[in-house]
Amino acid sequence: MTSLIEYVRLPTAIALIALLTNATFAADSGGLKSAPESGITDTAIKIGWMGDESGPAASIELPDIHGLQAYADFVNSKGGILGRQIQIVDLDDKSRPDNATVNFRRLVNDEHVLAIADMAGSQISTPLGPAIVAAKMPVIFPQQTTDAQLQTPYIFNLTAHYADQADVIVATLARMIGGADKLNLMVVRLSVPSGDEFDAYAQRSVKAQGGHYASAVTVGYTQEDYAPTVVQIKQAMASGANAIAFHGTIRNALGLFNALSKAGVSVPIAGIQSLAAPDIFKNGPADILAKFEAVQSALPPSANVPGAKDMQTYIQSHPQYANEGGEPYFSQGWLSGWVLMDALQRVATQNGGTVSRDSVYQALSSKFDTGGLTCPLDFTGPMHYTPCVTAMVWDGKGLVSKAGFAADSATLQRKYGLK
Amino acid sequence: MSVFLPLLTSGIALGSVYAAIALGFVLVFKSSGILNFAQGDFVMIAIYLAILCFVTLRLPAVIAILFVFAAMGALGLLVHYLVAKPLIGKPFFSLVLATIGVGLILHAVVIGFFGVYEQRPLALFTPGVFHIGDAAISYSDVTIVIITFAVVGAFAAIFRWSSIGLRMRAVAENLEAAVIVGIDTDRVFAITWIVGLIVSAIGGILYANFTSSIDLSISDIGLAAIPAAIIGGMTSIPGAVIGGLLLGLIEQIASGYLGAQWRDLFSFGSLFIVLMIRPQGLFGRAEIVRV
Amino acid sequence: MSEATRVWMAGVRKRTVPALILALVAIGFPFVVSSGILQWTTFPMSGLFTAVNLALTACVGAAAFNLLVGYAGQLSMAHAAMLMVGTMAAGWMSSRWGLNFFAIVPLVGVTGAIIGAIVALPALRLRGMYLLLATLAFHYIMATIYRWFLPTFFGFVGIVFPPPEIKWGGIAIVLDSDQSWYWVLLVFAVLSLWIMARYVGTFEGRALAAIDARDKGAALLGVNVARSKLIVFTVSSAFVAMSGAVSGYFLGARVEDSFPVSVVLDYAVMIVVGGFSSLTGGVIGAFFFYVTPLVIEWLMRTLPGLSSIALLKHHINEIDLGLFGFLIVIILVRRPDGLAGLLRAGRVS
Repeated sequence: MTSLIEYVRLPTAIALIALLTNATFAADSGGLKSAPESGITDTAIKIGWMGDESGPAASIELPDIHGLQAYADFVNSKGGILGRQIQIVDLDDKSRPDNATVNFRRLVNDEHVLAIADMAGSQISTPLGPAIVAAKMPVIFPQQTTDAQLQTPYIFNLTAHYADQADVIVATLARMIGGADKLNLMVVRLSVPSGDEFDAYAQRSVKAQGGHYASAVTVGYTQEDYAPTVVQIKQAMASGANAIAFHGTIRNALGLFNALSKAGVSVPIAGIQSLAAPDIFKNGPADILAKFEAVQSALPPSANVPGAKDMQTYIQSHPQYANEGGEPYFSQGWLSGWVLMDALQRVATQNGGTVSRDSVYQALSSKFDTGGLTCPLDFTGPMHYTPCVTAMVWDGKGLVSKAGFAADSATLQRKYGLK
Repeated sequence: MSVFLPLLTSGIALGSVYAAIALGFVLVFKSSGILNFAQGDFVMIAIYLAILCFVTLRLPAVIAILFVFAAMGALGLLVHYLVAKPLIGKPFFSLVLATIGVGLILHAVVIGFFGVYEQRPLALFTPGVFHIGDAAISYSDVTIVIITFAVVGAFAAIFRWSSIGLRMRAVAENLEAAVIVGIDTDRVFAITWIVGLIVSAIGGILYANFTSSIDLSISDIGLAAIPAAIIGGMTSIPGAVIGGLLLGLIEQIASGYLGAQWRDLFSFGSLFIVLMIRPQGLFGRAEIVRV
Repeated sequence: MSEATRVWMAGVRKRTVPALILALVAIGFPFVVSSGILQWTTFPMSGLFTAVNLALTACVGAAAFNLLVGYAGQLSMAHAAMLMVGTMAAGWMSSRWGLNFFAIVPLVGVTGAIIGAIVALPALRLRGMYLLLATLAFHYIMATIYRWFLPTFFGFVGIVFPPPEIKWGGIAIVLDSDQSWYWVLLVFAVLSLWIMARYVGTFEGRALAAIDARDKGAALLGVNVARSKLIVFTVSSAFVAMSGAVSGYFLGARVEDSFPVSVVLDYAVMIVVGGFSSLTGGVIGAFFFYVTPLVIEWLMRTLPGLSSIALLKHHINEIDLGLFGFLIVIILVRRPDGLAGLLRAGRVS
């Protein structure tokens, strides 16, 4: 039995509360005006994330979302940013393009996020290109860089393109062999089209650097036994091949390295970035790992650079991430949040606190200094690629760069005419 | 010879793994007629249970094995009573799909309790290698082959000479006649699932020692074992084993001489050829499979 | 009013009323989404729109799959292979011959029909499980061809499909949003389902049921079993290939790894959950497949008790997956004729 008074009280109370909270928040918002359509509400800044959390590629993509969530948690625990908490909206597509298309629509039209981080998998990023441009949605640091991504201005790439990875891989092998002219390269690659792509780039790189290309050996995604691969590698080596450029998954690497060790075969190997994985260095055979390096575009949290300090502090107080301290993809996730917030803060001080996704996009198209975690980022050009690639080895705690970004990226900087 | 010998030995080891897994597959099929497409998922959960017992909990080997067997047996009972039994007589495809649904649940359980990251392989057997000429053979591989044959032999003996084996064969041969004769077919089906899953568990544990890294994609081995079962003959237990060995050899030799990109083509191509020429497989009985 | 008239009117009501309601929902749906009326529910309406579009392309494939597996009892796992055929054919026609989307789709149908007929020839002699396995083998053969085809003719980027254009008088409509695609996909789905329904209603169609029941018995009835099997493979493959081409255009591009064998299992789930041997079942199954994950996730987010359980939030993906598997098993065990069977039961009573 509710009386009329009850009917009036509740709405009035709600209105009063709304008025008060608005007033409170308006005072605290650090001068930034809300723009809900661009992911900036009164209380939160929404960052989206798309990738594989429970499907075939989950083991390499989870560190990325963990890094992003860690960044958000870290910032939020210190009071947030511009008077708001960072809210991560992560959607799992299990590496399937149809799920990814639904998730993209949700992030853009239902959640209205400020930007989207990751978007791993060329089968996902290539089809979404036109939609990204139509929505003018910035996409930050997908786990791969393809030609299609380079042509989409809203995508900001940290990962090196296969061509650039191939350049540094070949240069690294040349270093291990004692000179590019002595290099007789064998490519071990997956039996999928991206394997064809890597093989083509590796051939180009080795010829450009003055070495020779011997042959290619194929491995399968689901290959269980690597004796056939070892047989083919030995045959190539008998014909003069003396180094391997490796395109494969973590499982392929562990299987192949064990088989090589068992057969007593020792040869310098340099791998693509998905092989710069702590799992390989922690669980593989020591004799093969002694001559193995993998390229990556970011240093892991364990790195001894200023930019890694906050991550190290956070991981220490959050032991569930202890295993990811040596994982470069964790840094990549953290950096996607960091770069985005850095850009946001730059525009928030201009324009009287009125920002939009467009102004943030403009701010992203500039230079960023990540404190040594990557080489200096420069997104001012028409294509947002990053010439940061370095060959990495394991120091017991995490992956470390042998020669440093400056040395390894010199080839690329010359190629792209930078600095 | 330096090319052929390593391929031969690894083909036998891989083939043994296939044989053990195909055996579990054929057992379930022979008795209940169900094509268990989730075979790989059952192998996967057995492997993760083994990791739990051997590595995480560090139980003594005998207790660990018994625990895994008991768990897989219980799972088999559950699958029989909750899924297979209610679907007896229903369309074949429904049965296949139900096993797939169970497989999805198993995947979810593994992700929930173990996560998606790579696990180290099991290392239960003697490490190290010995050499025959140019070929390096690991003791672990030899152990796998020996255990597989032992298990198959034990199982074939049970199937042939024990009373439960007799009942299982009767049910597989002619369900109606078995019912008339008074065999408790429900019990036989339940036991088939239990035994089938335990055999799969053995195959899984062997595989966990054979492989270099374990994650959820290890369930793919289930699909890979299907050609083994067909080539050998879906209605023949020795056939499953021979089929497994043959498949392992074919895959390794083809991959070694031509390249790994041909592996799928060779294994499923062999399957296709067998189906065209002799669908009942090498050792299966010629039923009415053609029209 | 006579008894007969009353019965007839009841029959009409039972058939046309649901159909009218369905038509109203179908036509009103895009307006509901764009008007934002339902935003207060926090249900992801734009995501739902995309999921509905995906379901529309999939339901043609699912119905075609059901035609083959459910009606004719031909257990086939060549479904994903046919999607690849459709994708490759569409890519070729689009980039090499520069054809328009609306010309490509029927041509892809023809291509699918031809390939389907070729595949059917060896399959005619196999039955049941053996046919299943032979078609599984065919999947892997086609996957190898697909993996060769893509980099050979389309380089490293993959097949990129340009947004289709409708030029009509002075008006040019580009299909580049869920809104514009919806109508085209709706027409495609309705037309395809209508054609398949007509096929099922013919003698050929009824012959399928006979073949499913008993190959030999059907032969005795005068059904040319081999010819009927050939025709159903042809028809089914045509529609599957077309749905592959359409979804390629809808998504925008196809690259490596777009068609693992799990795709076949997805469609199998659709037709078994939706309902075996009924075209409606394929439709229901397709919508179930794409919409349910959204619903499950929304429920977990918004239901007051559930949304606060941290454990749920942490494990939301595996719970999603496990629930999906559980639903499949439950529906199969309790209702082997699927959700469409529920509908039928409702109608009968």
